Amino acid sequence: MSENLLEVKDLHVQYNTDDAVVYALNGVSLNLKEGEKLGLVGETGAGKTTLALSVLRLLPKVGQIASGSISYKGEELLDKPESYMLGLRGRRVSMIFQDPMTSLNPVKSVGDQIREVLDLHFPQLTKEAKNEKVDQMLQLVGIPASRKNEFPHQFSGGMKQRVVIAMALISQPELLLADEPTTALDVTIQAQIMALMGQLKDRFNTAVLLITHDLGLVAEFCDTVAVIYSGCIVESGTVEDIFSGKNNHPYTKGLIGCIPDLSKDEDRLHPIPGHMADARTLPSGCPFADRCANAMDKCRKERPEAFSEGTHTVFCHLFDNMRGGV
Amino acid sequence: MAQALVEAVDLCKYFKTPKGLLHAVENVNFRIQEGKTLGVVGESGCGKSTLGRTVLRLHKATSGKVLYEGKDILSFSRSEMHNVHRNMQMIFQDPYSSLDPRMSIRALIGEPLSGLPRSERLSAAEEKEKVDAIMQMCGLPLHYANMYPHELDGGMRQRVGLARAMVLGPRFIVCDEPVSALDVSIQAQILNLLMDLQDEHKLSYMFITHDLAVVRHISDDIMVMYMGQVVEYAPSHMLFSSPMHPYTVALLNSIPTIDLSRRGRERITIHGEISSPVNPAPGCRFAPRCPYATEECRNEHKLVEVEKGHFAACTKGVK
Repeated sequence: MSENLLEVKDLHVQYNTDDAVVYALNGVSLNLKEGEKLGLVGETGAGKTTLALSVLRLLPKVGQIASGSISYKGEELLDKPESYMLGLRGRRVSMIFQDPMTSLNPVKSVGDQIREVLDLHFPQLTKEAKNEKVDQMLQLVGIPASRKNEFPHQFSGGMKQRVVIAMALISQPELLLADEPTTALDVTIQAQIMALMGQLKDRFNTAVLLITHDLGLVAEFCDTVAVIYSGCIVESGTVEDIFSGKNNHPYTKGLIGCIPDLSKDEDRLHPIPGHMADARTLPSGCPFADRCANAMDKCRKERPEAFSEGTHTVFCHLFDNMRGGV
Repeated sequence: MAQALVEAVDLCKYFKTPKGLLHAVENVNFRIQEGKTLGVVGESGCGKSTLGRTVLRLHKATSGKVLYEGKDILSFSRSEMHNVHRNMQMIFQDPYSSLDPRMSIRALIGEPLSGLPRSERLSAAEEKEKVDAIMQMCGLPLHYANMYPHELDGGMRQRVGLARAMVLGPRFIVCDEPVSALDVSIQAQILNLLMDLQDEHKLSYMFITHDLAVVRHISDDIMVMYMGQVVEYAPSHMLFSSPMHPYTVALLNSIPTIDLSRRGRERITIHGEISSPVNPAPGCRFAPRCPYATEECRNEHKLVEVEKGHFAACTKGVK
């Protein structure tokens, strides 16, 4: 087995706003191996984006990493000076932001924006070499190199997302954080972009952390999955572990039940009752207890321990009996 | 056949742009019976929202007819239209921007009532009662009445949008992407609510969405649009079991599923992107992206009834 590229351990992140302290991440642990595609699934406000921003140390000013560790290739990122992070961001770890419409500079041509990455991280390259790389990269993501002097507003949404992907990949990063890369796009374009990311992963062996709320996308694209709820990982495992329907966390089960099935005619959907807990108060027990049909007294009092079976881990008291003395 | 509640006949909507005529909706025909749902699917920019708005006369149609109970509402006067709009309502896509942030939930839901003719005007007490009843019907706890939109989450706001549409007791509602801004767990709640209301009040819906899974779930008939043209129109089960148009096939194929057995399936990805609907070339507008396109695709684009109730503009997608 290859070594862990990214290791997040017991990470706590909070936002200190004027009104209150918002607990965004409450003890998240996550491992990502080289070349692995990990899907991080959860609803709005679960802390998915906060996790990605924490890795890059790009949290907004009110955000604070309260405790925990993030190690990248064995090096603790939280102890590094800002100068070290500058060399990491965009060079070894790249991020694709959710909204391609707003993450490009409207007054710079797309070619210049892509070349900016090279100017920053590869100043030793000649101008010709850089331009050649930009042309190659554009072609790779399916944009004719002749369009590099055009501006973002001249591109459609799918094309802009390709430009953003080209920017993220031109430095051949070891890790790509993709935050809802296709949410703003249509399904046929989404299929094109995901196929493209798959090809690029095969070519550069880039590890991918795919952040999404779309379970289908994860099932098709990723190797492993982590389900996040209210700032806690509630379940993780390989795609097969999660989607085979055995021993799922009640929340994961609920999420899967919410999706209208294309291959079946069903009358009613099965929504998860209630709402996500207020992140301003720390849950004492399982964060999902209030919405869980199987919740017991214990669930509201104690944080569940991990129950592991091979690669599959679930954090739920329902599996306490199955732990069998471990 | 029984008279349809809402029917469109050769409906067209063009927009004048500096570059030429934008063909947003081209020769669209459909019938919606009472208590039934027509799903309209397509990618962004295909004209599905424009169609919904044109049907309600929020856009002025370029040509064609919209029949409500057999009468062409496009020829109605302003006051006649006022009456029709009580029966034809709309729910908008974005629950964040379609509610006035300075009105309380009670005021928002009661607002349509102030447009009633003088003879039907409700007293303050009656109005309160009515709003309370509608809130309950739409699953809004009554203590929300004095709150403001920013205090509610997306799902609850969408319920407010639905309550506003329901308060006049309509028979037909255009739902323009009502769940696409919501999380899956909330989405399921809203879809169930829409279906319950339909059963209770015999409502008819025109359900506009880009999400095929959602549309299958809620619709009786489905219309697939591409760049203003209807490419396929069929009962829901037929469309999903035997899609015919290459675009429908590609669309169905592009949806990611959690069914692992379909994981390694052969993908028919279509290349390229939607071209411009400004001054389009004659013939099939999907042809530039279509893997099966031939010379004859430049000919006239016409829906043909392939089997009973199943209309398609092209059958090259059949394996």
